[in-house]
Amino acid sequence: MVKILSTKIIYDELVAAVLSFDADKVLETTKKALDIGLSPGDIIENGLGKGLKTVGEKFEKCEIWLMHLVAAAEAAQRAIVELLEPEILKRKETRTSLGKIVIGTVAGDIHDIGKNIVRALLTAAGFEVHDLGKDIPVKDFIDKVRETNASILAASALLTSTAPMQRDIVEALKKEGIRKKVKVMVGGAAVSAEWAEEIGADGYAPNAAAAVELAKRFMGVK
Amino acid sequence: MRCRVEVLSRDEIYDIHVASLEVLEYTGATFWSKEALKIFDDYGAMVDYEKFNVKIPGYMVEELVRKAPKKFIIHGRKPKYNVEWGGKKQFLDLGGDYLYVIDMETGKRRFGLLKDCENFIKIGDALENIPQPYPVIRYPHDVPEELQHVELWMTHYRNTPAPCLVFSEDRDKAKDCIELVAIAAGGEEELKKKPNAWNAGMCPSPPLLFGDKLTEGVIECAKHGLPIWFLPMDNVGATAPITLAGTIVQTNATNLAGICLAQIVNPGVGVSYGDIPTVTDLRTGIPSVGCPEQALHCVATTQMARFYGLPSQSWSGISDSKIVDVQAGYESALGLLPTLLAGANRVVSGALEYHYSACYEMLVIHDEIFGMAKRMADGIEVNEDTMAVSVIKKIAPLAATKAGGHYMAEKHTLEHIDKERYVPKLSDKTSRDVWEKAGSKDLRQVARERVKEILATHVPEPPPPDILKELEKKAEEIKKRILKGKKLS
Repeated sequence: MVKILSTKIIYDELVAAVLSFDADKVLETTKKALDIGLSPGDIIENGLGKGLKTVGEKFEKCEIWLMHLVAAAEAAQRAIVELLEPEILKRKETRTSLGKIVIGTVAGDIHDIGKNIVRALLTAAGFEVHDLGKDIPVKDFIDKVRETNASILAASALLTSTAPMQRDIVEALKKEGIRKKVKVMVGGAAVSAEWAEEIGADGYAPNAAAAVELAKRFMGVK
Repeated sequence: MRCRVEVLSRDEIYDIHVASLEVLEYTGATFWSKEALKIFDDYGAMVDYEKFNVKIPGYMVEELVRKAPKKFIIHGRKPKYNVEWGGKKQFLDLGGDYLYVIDMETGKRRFGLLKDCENFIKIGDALENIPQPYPVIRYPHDVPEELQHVELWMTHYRNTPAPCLVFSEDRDKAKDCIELVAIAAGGEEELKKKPNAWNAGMCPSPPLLFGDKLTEGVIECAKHGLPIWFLPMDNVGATAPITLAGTIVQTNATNLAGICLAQIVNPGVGVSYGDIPTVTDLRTGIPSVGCPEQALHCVATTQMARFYGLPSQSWSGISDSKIVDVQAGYESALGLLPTLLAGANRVVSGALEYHYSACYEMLVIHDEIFGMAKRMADGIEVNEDTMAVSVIKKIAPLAATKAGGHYMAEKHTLEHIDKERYVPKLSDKTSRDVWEKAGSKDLRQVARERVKEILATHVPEPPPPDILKELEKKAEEIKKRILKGKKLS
């Protein structure tokens, strides 16, 4: 009885921590949850995930703004990457994620804020995200997809001069014979749905929330 | 600092003040009301009863204007609905006294009806920039002329808990409304302590002519301690000089003459210095309001009001256009922005066609323009916290890392969003894909949908049932009295 009660309290605390948009509080509460013996999977699903769902609903209703959404997602991302993933490794459990995604900003482009927000939201949504960073050559994308066996490759470009790198990525996947193994999604200020279609990508998302929806669709999750 | 616009220098303000005193002392104003003439005469002004002329010496004007309060409160149904006038407070209201409405369904102009008054008050009540919605249509076409003020008063009271209005086209109408206002306040004594209504409003006829009926309505309101809107409507180049400086002198002198009367009747009664200038269009003779000279005039008179330390209102930001189009947008913005930057306390909305026609869509569009202009007027706050050096120190170096750095998730960002950012209510900020998916709507359609949504969902706070019942009884009594009086005459 005591255990059930304290479990419920700690889940509520996790939700409240996410809703406070304070990363320190989220990390601290996640630590506390691990200490009393909750599994990383349960912490993500019943605590952080539940909190993020509420954040998403509040965002839809215009009760909070994009910055709150990003702050909550980044706080959850930090808890997952810094505390929960190491714990999963330690316990030799396999993490159940929605899917593996390789993400990066293409070569020649150092405008990564959009990509970073997408990364945070994807991680918070339950994807296993491998972030390559910014100014990433085509080869690095391909290598990482092979190494991780990722289902989705996401590439961002802000400049019209760097958007063609997204085409190069699609072409390189074809050349390597792994085009069918991975869904390619593109985004960024220089990119549109028409462009995605033209270069043979699988999808385009105009914003971070839409990127999460698109990735979920690729994985067949609602 | 706050963002300010000024078109008159300190010296020029003083020059206009002195010129206005000269006009009032040596030319004077015309008051058609015998009662007003007597009030001025008793106070020591120079009155010519035959010519209906009042000359007020400069020292007397200055002495009387000083009696008017710099700030005051008009009480709403509850303290949270009180409206503070003066100082840095700035709010939007609905413009008023229009005969016509642009019908939302047909897009055609038609006479305004009592239902339109109800709708406009309801929308105004729903919009957060509008703390005291004016009914827009003053003479609803489906109500007999002699009963309009009563029906309008009740419609207003039913649809907003904001301060009430006194429709004072003449003394009798003012008295009828004051009877209702007193019941709403909880009795005559309460009304004196907590004035809960405006005299709306006193529009002298240029040049410098105060009609008898409106003036007697003003006297009645002043006696009851109800604040008064003075709204000269000088027409640049026709009923006022072609030079803006000349028209400003005339508008200023007219405001001062009205304020003097109110302060003699009841020293300390609240007043609002006002301005509804029009500019004679050089080809058509139309009294244009969506033009640069009109905005300049309003900025100048707002400066004059600030010079006297008086609350002010400025009717700039209405367009001459006949439909909701680009002209309506730019003329509205070019009128509202400078007057708000000048510091006007009340500005108006919800109309087109040089104040001829009320327009539903423009009301919510003006609300958006007001929000943006007000944000600009509020300016930029610069201090150690807002300069954010400690946050920059933390984030900027992260740009070198793989994870990257940005400010979106910082505590500093979340703490300052509400104060720093204006949140658009109508303007489209979505990406093309999202916009296309939502139906590729233009602003006119978005505004129309917003109006319909408000009308379908907004429920104004209902009045206390016992007071409403008493008011309904009184309104019936007044209407019977009016109709009986009409039969006798």
